[in-house]
Amino acid sequence: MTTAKILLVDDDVELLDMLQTYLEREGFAVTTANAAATGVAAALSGGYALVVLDVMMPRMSGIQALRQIRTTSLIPVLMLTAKGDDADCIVGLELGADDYVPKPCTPRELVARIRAILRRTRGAEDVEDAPAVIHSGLLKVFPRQRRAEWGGKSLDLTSTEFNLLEALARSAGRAVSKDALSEHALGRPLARFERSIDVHVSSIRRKLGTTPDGRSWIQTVVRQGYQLLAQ
Amino acid sequence: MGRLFWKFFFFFMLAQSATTAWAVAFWIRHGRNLPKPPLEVMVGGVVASLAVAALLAWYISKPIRYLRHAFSAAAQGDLDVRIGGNLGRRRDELADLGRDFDRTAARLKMLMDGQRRLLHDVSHELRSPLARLQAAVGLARQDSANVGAVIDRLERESVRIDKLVDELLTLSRLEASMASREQESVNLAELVIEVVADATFEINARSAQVAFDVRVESLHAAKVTGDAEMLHRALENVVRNSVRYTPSGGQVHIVGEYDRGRREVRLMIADEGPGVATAELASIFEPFFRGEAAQATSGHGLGLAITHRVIESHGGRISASNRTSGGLSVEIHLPA
Repeated sequence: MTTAKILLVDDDVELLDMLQTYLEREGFAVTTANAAATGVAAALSGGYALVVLDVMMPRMSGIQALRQIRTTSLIPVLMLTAKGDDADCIVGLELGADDYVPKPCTPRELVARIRAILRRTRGAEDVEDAPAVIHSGLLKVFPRQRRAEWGGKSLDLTSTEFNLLEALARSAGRAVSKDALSEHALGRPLARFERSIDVHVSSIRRKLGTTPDGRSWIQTVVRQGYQLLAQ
Repeated sequence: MGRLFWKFFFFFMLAQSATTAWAVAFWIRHGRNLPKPPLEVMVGGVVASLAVAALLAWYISKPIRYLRHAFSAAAQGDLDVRIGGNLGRRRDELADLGRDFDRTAARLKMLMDGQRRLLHDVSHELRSPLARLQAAVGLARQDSANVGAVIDRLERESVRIDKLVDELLTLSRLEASMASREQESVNLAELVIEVVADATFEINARSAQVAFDVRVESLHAAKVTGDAEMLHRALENVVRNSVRYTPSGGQVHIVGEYDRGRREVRLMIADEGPGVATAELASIFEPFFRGEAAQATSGHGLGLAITHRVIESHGGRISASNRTSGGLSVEIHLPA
């Protein structure tokens, strides 16, 4: 496994220094940016495996920065959000963040989340035994290339959205529980009352459109999870 | 119609009945040779007095009903309720009561919103030192060679949290005890000189290069009434702020003037720093405001908010502007 390049964006310079030291000792290559504007520029310049983005920054907030990143890039983004501020989490996830960590958090927690996302992004463990293509109606998922097509057209999915769609496609026609989806897409169990999976699913729904009779392709199965319609 | 309406109505009727009964008794004793009053007139009189009594009772009880609704809404926590328009163009004690209610509700709402915002800001502001603490502990766990540096860091962060809590307490004390404030005669010139002496001491300790240019002699003649400790804190916050943004080799100017005609003192504290963006000038006195030039870890934005409250509670006002020669100028007006 090559060293993963991580970009840290936070306005707190002292915190950045410490996190950089910590992450480097954990084997990551770390670059830092202490303002949203420079962070966006760095993230878009490419070459990073993941961006850790603080939501609470003066002037341009992390949310605005995320919006700018997402207009052109699908790079995995992990948000640092204020504990207890659910609105920020939801907005961030809706804008296409891959996951979030409440701040303050221990660096160990942060590293665990970063590893979880990177593992899923690379799909390292699945690649060997993954089928070349999963076919379900209009949907084609190519796990090895980590891309998906809908009706012949390529879908723009964030890494987490791709993982979710892949999990749903593998069990098309059957319900997949939210816990299983969370394990597969985020690499962690779902916290109580957490809505991350719902938010990610609703952005996938937007990208897929509706069936001819106006239903969503991904159906909510009460108390069980979500199901991708198998035509 | 509420109870109050019927009570008023009943008493007005009672008063009118008593009058009528007295008139009838008078007629029975003295007016036997006078012609009998026609029945229609008597019935008409009774109906008219009923109508007038009802109208009067309604006129008094209606605004009270509005007031009651407003109070119960406020008791449920809805402070957006206002009486104003419901009383029309009425001008009497009841209308005054309505206006008083509106003022009370508006003030309470403002205070509560302020508290809520402060609480939100505080929890936000405590997160930064806590995040740094956790990162430091993480580093120490990762490699025990870090422990020395981490302990220094822990100490620094706990001092920051302590200072933040201290300032918060000051702010809440200011809000809670405006009325019970110590009232004494304060010599502002002496206060300024004390603050400058403290600041100079600190500057020397850090071997920084910031000089003071103080001209406050005319303030000796002025007597400001208020709380010396609070005023000291207020000035100290502004002066510290100026020192922080003045580059090495720069000067902080403090000029005081006593305007006998207007019975007020003016105190101007100006630095030679980068100044503040014009759009942000009005916001620098809000809690936790942090300007573009400010560092994420320097200060926590409560100092100037405290100054603002202190000056306002002394009946004065404070404003900030950018100097044409560069730097920020804070102007304080206090009644003397």
